[in-house]
Amino acid sequence: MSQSKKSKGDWLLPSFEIAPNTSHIKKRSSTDDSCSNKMNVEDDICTDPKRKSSNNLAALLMTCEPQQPSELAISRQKQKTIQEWLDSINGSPKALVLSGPSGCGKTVALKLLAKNSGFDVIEWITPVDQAMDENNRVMRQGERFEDFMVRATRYNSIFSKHSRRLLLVKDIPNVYLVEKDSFSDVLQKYFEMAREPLVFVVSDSGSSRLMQTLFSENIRKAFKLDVISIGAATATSMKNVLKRVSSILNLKGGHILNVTQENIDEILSNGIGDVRSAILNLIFISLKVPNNESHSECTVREESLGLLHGVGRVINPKRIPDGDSWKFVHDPDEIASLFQSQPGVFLGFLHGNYLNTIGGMDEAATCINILSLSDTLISEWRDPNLGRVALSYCIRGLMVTNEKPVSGWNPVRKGQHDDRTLQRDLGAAELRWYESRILSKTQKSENSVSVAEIEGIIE
Amino acid sequence: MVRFFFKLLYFFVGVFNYLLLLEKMSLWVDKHRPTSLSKLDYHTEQAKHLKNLVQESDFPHLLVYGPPGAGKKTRIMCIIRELYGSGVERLRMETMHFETPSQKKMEIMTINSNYHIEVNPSDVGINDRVVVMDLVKTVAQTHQIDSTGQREFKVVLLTNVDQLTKDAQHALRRTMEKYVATCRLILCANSTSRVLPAIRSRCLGIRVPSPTIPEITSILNSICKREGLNLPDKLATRVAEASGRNLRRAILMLEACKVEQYPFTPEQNITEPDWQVYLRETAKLMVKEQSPSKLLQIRGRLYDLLIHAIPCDLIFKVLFQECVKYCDLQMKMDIAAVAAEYEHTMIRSSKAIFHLEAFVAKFMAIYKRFMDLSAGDFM
Repeated sequence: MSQSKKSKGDWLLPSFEIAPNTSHIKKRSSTDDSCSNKMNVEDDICTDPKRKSSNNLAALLMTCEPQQPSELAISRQKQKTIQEWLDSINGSPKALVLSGPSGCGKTVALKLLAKNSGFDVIEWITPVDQAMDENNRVMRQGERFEDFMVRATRYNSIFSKHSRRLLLVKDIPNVYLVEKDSFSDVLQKYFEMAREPLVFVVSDSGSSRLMQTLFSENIRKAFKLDVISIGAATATSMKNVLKRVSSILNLKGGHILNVTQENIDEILSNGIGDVRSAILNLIFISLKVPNNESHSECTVREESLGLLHGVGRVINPKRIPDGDSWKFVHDPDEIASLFQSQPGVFLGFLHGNYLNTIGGMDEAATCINILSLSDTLISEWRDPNLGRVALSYCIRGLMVTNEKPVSGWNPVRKGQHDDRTLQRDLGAAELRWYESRILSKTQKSENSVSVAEIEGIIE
Repeated sequence: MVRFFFKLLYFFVGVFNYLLLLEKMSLWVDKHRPTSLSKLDYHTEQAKHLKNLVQESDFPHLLVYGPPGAGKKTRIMCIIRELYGSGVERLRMETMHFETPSQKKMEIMTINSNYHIEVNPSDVGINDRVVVMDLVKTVAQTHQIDSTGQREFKVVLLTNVDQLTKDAQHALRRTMEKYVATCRLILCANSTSRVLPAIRSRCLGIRVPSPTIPEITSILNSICKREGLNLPDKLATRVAEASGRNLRRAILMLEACKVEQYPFTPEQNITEPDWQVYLRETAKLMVKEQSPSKLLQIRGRLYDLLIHAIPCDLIFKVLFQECVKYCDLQMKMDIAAVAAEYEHTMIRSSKAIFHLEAFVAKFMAIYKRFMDLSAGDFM
């Protein structure tokens, strides 16, 4: 199957591989359908700059890719070296090892420069499926790699725009990590049979020993491999890249992103010369978060605000200047939202304590007027929303009225209850009062009266 | 046989309760209360009408209203007695239990006879709706057991109807229509202004005005005659004037005077209700100094009054009367407007203290402004 695909692939791409922005760069790999996505993504450098804004982050990332050598993150000198290498290609097999820390822009630079020099880049992507050869035998990964190295450039693709081709190997099949000898065999074979130049891109982080194991001194000498090592992106180049990218992001992804200079500075401050991760991070921190979510976060954080703190915030409103006017340090609505379940209790506490910090009589009158009205609103139990309205009104009212809170230590008092255990009735009150007076007096006088007289009174 | 036994038991319990009530009935107000319509001392014309009404053997729901101490309750009891005979005097006090829809249990004191039940639904505050509905329902659904009873209906006496919440009043309106066959409602209120028009129109309204000062003095004289005491005319007039045409208070004052000092002297001290004195002092405090700390102190005094179950509207009224004494005409108008506003909000809401305090604060603010202005004028 893969064999057939390989043989025909150059001529006939399956329809799903033909993305709207069909590129001139064709991936040549023995992958199956599952890889098609990957192909599309890696597809291309020459994305249409006029593409409409997109929701897709991957597409967004693609638009950030540099279009001109001047936009690359790697230094001019290195660009020149690569360019010289590309120029020196003259039909004979030639191999280059491009090494450098990950994310410094190796691949992008190579692809762009190769394109400008008139090369088609054919990239090896290690297949994840198992392919069969014509004898229905499972092909080994190594064999397929070998096959690619030797034969990939043999046939022209109908989509190709350039006459010359370049093989690109980024992820070297794992087998060669174990069998170093077979890798040199493959190279040997390549140099014997292939005609197109070959580039290995090796990310050379400190822990990776790929450079030492596969491209050791001996092999390099034996096959005359050229080596170009690229350093991490410098702060200046990173800054330039981000600056360029931010304008593109704001333009294309303005509906989901908001890239600000602050974000860029933040990324730059902790960047380690990795352009790719810097861009990803930039996109992540610039994402517009829907407002309601951030609100809910606030409430979760503040939930623990106690009743007494709430009371304190209301009766001691702190103000901070905000432009020409001012605003409260603690948002009245936020306070109100915390006590919605028990507006009556909160009002009781406010009433018990508001006088502690009130300076003048007029303010006090206004405050108690507000409390009185809130209480009236709360008593209207038929509409549950009124409780909230009353609470918000009351909190705002008290906070705004109390312009200069009197400071000083005042214990928080609990609002007293006036329980109706006794009958509230004028007649009853009069009776109670006079009865107590009369009975207390009569009892006193009775002490001096003889028992006989008491009996007489009862009768 | 069993039925007879129960009846006997019932009778004994009734007698026992009656005796208890009698013992308590040592005050002159209760002792000398007229028990029949023909024995009433004033508004005799109205008494005649009432008698005619009752003798028709059927009467509509009644709404008896008038200022406190005018004799509303006395007339109502006379009517009931006229209807059922002396059996209504066998009173017992019972506690009825209710449960709100929200499973809150509460109880309320009722005063019953075999023929009527008296209850003050406003005792339970905002849950009065449940009381009105359940009580009237339980009473009205059971017909008179006693076949010898002359009437086919029972009487439910609701006092302080004007303090009922709007919901309770609506509930009352519905029950009034529904159980008109088995029970008659007699509502007792100080003012009809807070009674729903729907209820007012379903009742025969009977207004009981306050007795005049001469009427009160003559009643006081007759009481003293029955008690075998000698009452100087001057003292009788003074007591009548101090009572504010409130007969109950007048009789209570007289008895208090008697306890304090007998034989009477014309110039002897008349004991005023304590809250009156207390509120007068409160007003004095308000005028003396206007500051938030003073307001805090006055709040404490208001709480004291509320804890002693002095009615909020009474506090309001007396406080206003005392305050106004310190004001000139323009300020009087302002204060009256403020008082009217807060009294209204007080009725509409649950926490009386807020509104009382609001009135006090407002008065103090207005007074302070006035004083500052006049001080400015002098300088």
